[in-house]
Amino acid sequence: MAQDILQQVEVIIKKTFDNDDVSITLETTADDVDEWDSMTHLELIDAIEKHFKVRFALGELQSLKNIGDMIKLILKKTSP
Amino acid sequence: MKFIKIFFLTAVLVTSILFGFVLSIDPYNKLGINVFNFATKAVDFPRVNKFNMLEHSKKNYEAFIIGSSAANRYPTKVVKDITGLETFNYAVQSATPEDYYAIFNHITHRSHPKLVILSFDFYGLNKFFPVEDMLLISPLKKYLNDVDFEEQKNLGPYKTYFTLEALGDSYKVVWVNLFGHANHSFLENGDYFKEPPAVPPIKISQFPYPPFEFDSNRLELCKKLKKKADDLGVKLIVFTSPLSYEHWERIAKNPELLKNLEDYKIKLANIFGGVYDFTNKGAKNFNDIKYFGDSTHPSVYFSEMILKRLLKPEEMDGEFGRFVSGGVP
Amino acid sequence: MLFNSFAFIFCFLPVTLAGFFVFNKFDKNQFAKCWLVGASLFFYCFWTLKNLPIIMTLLAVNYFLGRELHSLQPRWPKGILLKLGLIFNIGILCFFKYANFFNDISGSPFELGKLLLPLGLSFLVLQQITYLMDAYEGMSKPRGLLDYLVFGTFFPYLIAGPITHYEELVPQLENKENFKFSPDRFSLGIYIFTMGLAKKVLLAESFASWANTGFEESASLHFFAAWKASLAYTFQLYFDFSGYSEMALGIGQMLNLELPINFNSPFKSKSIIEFWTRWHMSLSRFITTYMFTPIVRLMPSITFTNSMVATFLAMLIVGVWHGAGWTFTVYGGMHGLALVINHIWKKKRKKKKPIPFFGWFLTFNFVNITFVMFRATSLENALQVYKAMLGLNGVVIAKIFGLSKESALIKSGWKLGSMLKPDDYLVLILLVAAFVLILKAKNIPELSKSFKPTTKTAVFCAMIFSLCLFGFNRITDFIYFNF
Repeated sequence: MAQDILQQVEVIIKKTFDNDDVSITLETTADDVDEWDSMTHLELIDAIEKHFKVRFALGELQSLKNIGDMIKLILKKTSP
Repeated sequence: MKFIKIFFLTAVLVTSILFGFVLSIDPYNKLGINVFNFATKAVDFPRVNKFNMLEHSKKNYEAFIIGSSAANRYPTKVVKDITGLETFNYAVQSATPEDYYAIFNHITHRSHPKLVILSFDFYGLNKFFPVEDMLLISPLKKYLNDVDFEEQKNLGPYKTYFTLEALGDSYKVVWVNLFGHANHSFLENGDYFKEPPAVPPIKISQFPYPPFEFDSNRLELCKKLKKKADDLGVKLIVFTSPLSYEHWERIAKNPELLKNLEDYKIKLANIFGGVYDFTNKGAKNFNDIKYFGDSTHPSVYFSEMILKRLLKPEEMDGEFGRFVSGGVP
Repeated sequence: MLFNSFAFIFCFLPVTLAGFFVFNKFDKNQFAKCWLVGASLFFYCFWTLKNLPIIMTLLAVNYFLGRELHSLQPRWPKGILLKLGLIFNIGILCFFKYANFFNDISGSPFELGKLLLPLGLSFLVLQQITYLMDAYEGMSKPRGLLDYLVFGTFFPYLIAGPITHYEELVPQLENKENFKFSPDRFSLGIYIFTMGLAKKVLLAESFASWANTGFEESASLHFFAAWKASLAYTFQLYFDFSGYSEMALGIGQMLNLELPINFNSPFKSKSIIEFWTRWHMSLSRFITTYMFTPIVRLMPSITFTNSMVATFLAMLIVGVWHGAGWTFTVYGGMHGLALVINHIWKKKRKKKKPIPFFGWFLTFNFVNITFVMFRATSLENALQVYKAMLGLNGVVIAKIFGLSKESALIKSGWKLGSMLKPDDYLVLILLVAAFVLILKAKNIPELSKSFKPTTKTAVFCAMIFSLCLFGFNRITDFIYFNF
């Protein structure tokens, strides 16, 4: 399940950052990706929210700069 | 737990050692301790330095220049060339009449000077301008025994030895005594080290008034000084320390302050039997960094000019440096 | 009571720590928390009693709002409660911070009297906003009044941050392990505290006097003097504020509590975007989360242009948060503009690798220049310093390296200054030391990760600490107490 989400997130990241060379793992953080800063972060979140049909709280946004935490949160929000 | 114990023990130990070090050096001569028998202390303080320079000098000085830092740059050579007297510059920073008096006592106690040139600062008669702390902890203080003045309770950073400044100064004392030849920031004869002209525009930052109010104790002190000079047969030339035109203008904007300035000249003239006035709008002709380093400190070049005018008054013309005679009620 | 005072280090802190651990030892955790609240209030009142009612009102209102926001059946819709809370908090802050300013510029006939900003209010208000937001978004668990009070008054961060979230602090007070005195964490606390203390007492205060003189005499500064003043202030601000934050972190460690890191070697940044992820991080986090993001989300779509507008607005608000006055507004605007330019450039640059040194050089100097605006007492004051930094007031070079009147520099219009004095050497040495520290040295969060309570470290710490004690007699406030 997590692996599946990871793959979908990777696709979104590549598209949002317009960079096909990015590869991500559960350990990847915003610091590892050059294009990922506070500005593009919001575009990414927006894309992820639309894709998974979830809504993140403002207080959660900072922890989303870590792929592992992001996947966990998506899982939590999408599970019925 | 070991870390915490070692931390506290070492902290107590190091603090004691550092404080003990400062006390053993006693950099401001507050305690009269001199464990290592150092020749000089408090390396940056002219009241100590010049005192010691004079004490240890083999020359027989017959003329002295007294004043605040504004008088630092009067070259002793000019006085010697004109009068033939061996001259010493005894200017100390932020001098007030207490300093003039202590210094006068020191030099007359040591030898019999023939001439004393006193650059008298306007601020020095201001009741609100305090005696410099350093005077009270310098060896000059012993020449103030007959003076009653309100001792400053707050000695600023010097009030306690438990400061980084005291630590730094102690280190400097050791360094100068062990590794440097106890050198001073002054050249022989108390002359100021040569410095190039200052930076335009002339700074006005040193403007310690208002408020201004005449200090009657200090006026009495000046009378005492004059009497001693007369008794000992010392020729005393007094002049008001030059102020830049900007400085004078600022005073002139305040009518009350301007009146104080004029009164100050008259009071001095009455006490000293005349005074040369370098504190007036005549400064306009010398309104350039060639003449003034900042609003209160004349340059070396200008200091020379002023000395020559003082010692050859017959060549003096114009308002700047005019003689204000005494006897005006 | 400042952290760098005898009263704090030798009376307040030992008593507070001892009380906390004694209560915990006898399993009176609730008493230990009460003790912390009491100590914190005492700490606050040590400055002035006058502001206590304001602080208590603020805490009381926020506590009740928070309780409603946490509850499953609130009496009013949560959206309305949150809005009320935000209006209340921001209203109080604006009232105390800006009433005087608007009174001054509008010349209104109402005499408000000189309102003084209650100490620490700027930080307290931001922290309370995070509390309400977290409660509203379900990011925090409801707990009792006592936990809230510990969070709201905790003395290490009460006056100047770091802005800490409720969930970052309070759960630590539930962990049984944290009730016990831990020699290792206490040692780490001493270490961090001492390093922060040294930054403040030995470095910041040395730079302070040069910065003050420079800005006071801004009209007569020349080229080198102006750079000296501006660099001195930049270092003063950094060492002062990061020193304070780290002292807070250190005290937290002594109490077994972890606080968020506020500075992460900001001057190693190679772009202004990076700088804001490393400088005053708890504030940056607040801005990004609660200002930048909502502004962007309010806009119809997330486009690059919209994000740029939001960035600029958020930075402008940060500027004004520091104080009413044009200098702070311009300061915020400068940083907003720089971030926008940085983002545009980053977008255009694409794959090309930037040159690290160039990026660092630009970033450092830009920050240094904006701090002139930050420090200046007025726009005019700042312009005077800028003029001098550009060399428009002339260049005076010290008599070194065999410079004489005949050398080319002097002939080209430079003026020859005096010989270097001992104080000038001290300036040079400290400036070099500061550069080495900010660029090469590990920062305190990094150092604390590799910290080992060895004898060598203990002796080193103790020596620095002893030296700092000698600096206590020239106490000046921390810069960020004024914001």
